[in-house]
Amino acid sequence: MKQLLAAEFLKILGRRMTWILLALLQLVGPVTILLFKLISQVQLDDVGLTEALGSLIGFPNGYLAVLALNVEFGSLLVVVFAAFFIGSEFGWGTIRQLFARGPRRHEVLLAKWLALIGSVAVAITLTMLISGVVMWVADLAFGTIAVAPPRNFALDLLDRYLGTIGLLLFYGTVAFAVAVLTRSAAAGMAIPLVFAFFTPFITEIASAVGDGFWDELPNYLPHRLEPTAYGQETLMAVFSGLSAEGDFSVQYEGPSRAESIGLLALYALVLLGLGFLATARRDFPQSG
Amino acid sequence: MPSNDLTIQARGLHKRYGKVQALAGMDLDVPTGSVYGLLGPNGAGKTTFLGVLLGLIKPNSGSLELFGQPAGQDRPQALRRVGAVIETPLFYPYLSGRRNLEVMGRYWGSIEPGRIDEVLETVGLSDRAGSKFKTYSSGMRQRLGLANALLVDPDLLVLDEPTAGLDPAGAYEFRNLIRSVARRADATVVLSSHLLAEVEQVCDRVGILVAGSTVVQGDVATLLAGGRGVRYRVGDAGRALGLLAGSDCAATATGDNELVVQIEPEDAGEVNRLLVRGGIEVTGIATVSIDLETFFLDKVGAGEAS
Repeated sequence: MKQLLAAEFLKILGRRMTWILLALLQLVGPVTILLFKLISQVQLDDVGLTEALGSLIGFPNGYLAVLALNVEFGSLLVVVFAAFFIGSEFGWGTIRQLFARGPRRHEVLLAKWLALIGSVAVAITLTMLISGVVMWVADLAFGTIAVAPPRNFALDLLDRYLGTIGLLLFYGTVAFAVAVLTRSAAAGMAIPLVFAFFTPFITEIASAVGDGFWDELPNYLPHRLEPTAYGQETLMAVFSGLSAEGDFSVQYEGPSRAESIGLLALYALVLLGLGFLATARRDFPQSG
Repeated sequence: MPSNDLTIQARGLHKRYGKVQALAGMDLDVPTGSVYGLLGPNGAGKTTFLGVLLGLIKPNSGSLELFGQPAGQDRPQALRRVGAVIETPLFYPYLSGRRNLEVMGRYWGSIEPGRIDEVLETVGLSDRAGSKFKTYSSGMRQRLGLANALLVDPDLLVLDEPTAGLDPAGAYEFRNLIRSVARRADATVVLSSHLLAEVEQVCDRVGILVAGSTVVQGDVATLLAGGRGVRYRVGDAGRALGLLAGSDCAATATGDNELVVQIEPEDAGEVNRLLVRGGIEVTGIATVSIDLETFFLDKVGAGEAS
């Protein structure tokens, strides 16, 4: 498995797409923060709003905003990365070369999935580091550095950091599994995005159908589960400048956090399992 | 032939895709150390069989032994002894030739240090090893495919249409490369090809597939010997056959005044004397030989071969 993982990382590092997506991730987090910082400096009419924004996006509170941005926009990038990471193997026909090499098919897929997890974790950590430097330098430049982070900040940050990686892995795993099942990067990319796009409609339809089960059903759709909801809430707080105290608590009613995490993991693992099973049983007669 | 002398032994392999029967009870024996040509018209089941061999396709029924062991049993271990060039070799377009081999080598497990340079040298790709795969010509892609197959110093080398897409000069060069590699690697080689001349030049044993079944297999020399002989133009072919029936020579009338006797050319004079002494007028003598193409068309039928 060590050798397979090394091979996967060689492929990841050698691909231009990896670096483009990583660059986009840096644009989403640190650059957005910097942009808001600049905007907050020129909005002199509303001092309260300016201070609120400054607090939210300055060092160190801005980390939470960076993570929220990563959930919202990073998930798109991770879906693209994951879908192409496995889908291209089917498209190029290289998956047949790998399957004919000796390792069992599930080992090949597992190595790719683990490499995906590793890449996402590294990308988010890198974004955090770069964001930190950007925020710190900006705060130093504007003389707005916050020296007293909110209580339990470190724990909250760790919680959000792990939650962000977990969420991006959820989206990545779904895209990966769909691409394996369909043997197509395009489908791996499109199906999770289309599903996410239509979820609000599904929610409306379910609510319209009736009470009880139907009314409850939307709470079990991925975007409504508690961990996935925090990114949207935090972003709203950033955009509206409502949370001047740095209070990131969200108004949420639905399955508990543990239940939500369990459900998201279940969705992802069921899809992944189906992908592994289908690959184990499939024939690979002709190259792409 | 005892099965432990065989690198590949297939018995009654069946594979069906919907209504299409790709393999219909195929039997095949590939002796260890041979260079085996797999022949057959389009759709005969050659590529399907190679897919089964490499674990890419699961047969519906039948058995396959690889290196004397059932193929399903510890296939990963068996496949680590197999190098294959499957159709057009497919690699990562954004990686260099060398980096592609590095990736594939890791999928095989550990390879000896310096092995990548060695195989690149063998196939003549050292100079372009650093170029991206997407910039390679067809010939270079085939060479990289062969280098990849040789990475583990395989006991079995599987080549599926290795010269497809190459120009005649490239194909000639690549054929020579295969021959030299097969000799040097001391491996069993299975070569699937449409090019009968290529198979005749490279292989010492062939199997002909038609509609998913093996119609004939054996040593090339032995199979073609059956079609070799001497043609006699005679006054009365019927009387001549009667006369030769008493001798050891197998003879066939190919016309009223013509017969082919299956003898070596150096024995032609002796048979001529026998015919003349028996009162048969002999007006012409010519040696007859068949090549693999004629043999193939005879077994497959000209219509199916296309």
